[in-house]
Amino acid sequence: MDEKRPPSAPRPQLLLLTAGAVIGAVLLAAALVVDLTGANDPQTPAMPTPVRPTMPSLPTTFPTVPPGGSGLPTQLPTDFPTQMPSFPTDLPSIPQMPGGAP
Amino acid sequence: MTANTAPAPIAALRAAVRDDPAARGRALLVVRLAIALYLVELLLNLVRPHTGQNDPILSIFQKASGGGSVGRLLGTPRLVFWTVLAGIVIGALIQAVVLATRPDERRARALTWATIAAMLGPFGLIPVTVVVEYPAQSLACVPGTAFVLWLLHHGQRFSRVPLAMLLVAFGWGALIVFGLGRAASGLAFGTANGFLAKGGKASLTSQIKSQYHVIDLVIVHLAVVNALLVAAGVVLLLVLFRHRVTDVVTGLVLGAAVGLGYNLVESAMFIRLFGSFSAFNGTTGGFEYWVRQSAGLLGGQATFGALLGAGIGVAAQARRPGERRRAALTALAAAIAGAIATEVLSAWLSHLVHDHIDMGGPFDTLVVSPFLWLLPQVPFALVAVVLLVLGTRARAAAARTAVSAETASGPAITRQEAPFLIDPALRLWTLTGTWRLHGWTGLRTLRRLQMAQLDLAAWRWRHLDDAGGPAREEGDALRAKVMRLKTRTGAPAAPRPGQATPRPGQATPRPGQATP
Repeated sequence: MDEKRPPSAPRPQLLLLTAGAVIGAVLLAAALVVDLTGANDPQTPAMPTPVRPTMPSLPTTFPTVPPGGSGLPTQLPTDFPTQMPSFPTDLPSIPQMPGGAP
Repeated sequence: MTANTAPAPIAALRAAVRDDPAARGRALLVVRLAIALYLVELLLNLVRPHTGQNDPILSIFQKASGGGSVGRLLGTPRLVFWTVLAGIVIGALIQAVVLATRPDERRARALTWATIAAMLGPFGLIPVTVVVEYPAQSLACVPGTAFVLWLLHHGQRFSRVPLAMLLVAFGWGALIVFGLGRAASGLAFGTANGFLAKGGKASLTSQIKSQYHVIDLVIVHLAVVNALLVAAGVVLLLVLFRHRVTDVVTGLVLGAAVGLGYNLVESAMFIRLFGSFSAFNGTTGGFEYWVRQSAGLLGGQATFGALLGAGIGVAAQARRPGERRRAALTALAAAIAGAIATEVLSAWLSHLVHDHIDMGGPFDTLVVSPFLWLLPQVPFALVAVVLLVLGTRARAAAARTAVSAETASGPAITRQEAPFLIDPALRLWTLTGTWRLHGWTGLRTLRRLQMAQLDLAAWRWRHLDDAGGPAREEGDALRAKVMRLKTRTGAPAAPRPGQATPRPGQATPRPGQATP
């Protein structure tokens, strides 16, 4: 830059620029904290937790005999019917067709 | 076409630009550094880890840019990319020809400008594409931007940056800072994606986290590259353009104009894109327009550009190398850190506040959201304003000394005219009174004379110690211009304080007409 410079020394301006850099450093640090803590990440909707079906608890004991019972049956029944049932023989006759026999 | 037959704006531009070998050499150095930065980005993108079989050799060739809205924001059209590469090759070939043939001065000058145009020009196609694609949004941003440019031009005291210089600063911001910054950051986005997404195939959560990290890195990268390019532009302008005073005000005005140019193209793009994505992010194009072109027109890149330019102006003014380095580096640090902090903290504050305030309502749109965007920038804007005030005061003190010295040395500035030149308020009062007495012609004549006298005073300021040799010739030419303006039309007499001025429309003596 060949333009000649004014003679005044810009000390207050240098101090102000330094102050600007310090402010920038502080705000940058704050931005870094915000970023690293994830405070600025977009809020994603919470995923629904799937409801797991609970297994029914199995019975651990055998059923007990109801009160008044005589215990579990141990033998098959033997008194099955042995004869076929008799059919009735006095069935009604077929009624007359209207208009007489063909 | 010779300089004599060129249109007036081009002739004015030629007259304003320095064309000596030293200035051209420095300009070429700045351009080479900018291109070197881009080539490094290109190389890093080439060697990045490729995340898939369909990953192209350069990330910018990826279909849909692989990054949704971010990819679109940073995307470089393929044709523009090849044009950029061709421009760099052509520029390098021209430089090789210059080195090999050692052309005469006239040819060397033409080849230097051709090199600069070939290497930097194609980057301007990126913002041009944005403006052409979004003409309505771009046009909507013109009035506010033009107003701030007008303010920057007319708000300077004592000695103004030439208008051509101011407009080129604006163009540098709009075309080169935006174009080169976007091209480099687009490559950086792909590079960071390649390095960070390398192990991110395990789960969707880790992929999302790595995308957040990539976006954070791109924000940092964009802030750094933009600041470097703004600084390069201000340095280039101070080197190439003839101007009277180089100080904090000069740098601040140039930096703000660069930032304003960048802001124009970025606003057009964001208004369109955020308008398109309003269903997802809730931001409309109208809101973006309000924040960027109304409430925050002087914020963002304009503020940080002003701060950075002010630092470069102080560095150019300082005499000790240590002070120069300190001024430039602190301004660079402030601009980079401020841009990053604004992006992160304003979004964080918005998250905090919008949990308690209804989003999208009139109060939020008109007050809360602009306030939250501007809040992290306020300290930097205050620093810039105080720098401007200090610089203006320093100029006023220097003007008093220079005008007094010039008053004592000749008739170009008389003792009666000196107070009007030193005090801007008094000068404005004089111009207003002259307009009421003599109409627009009288106003223009007096203003032209005062500007020439201020130019002479600024010359005197620069050469208080050494007014000999070439400097003396320049001073003589400036004095001759002042005397010519005084005698050619007969400068209208400025109204004295307390003198009654006729109302507009009342019969007034014309310039040059004898007055009792």
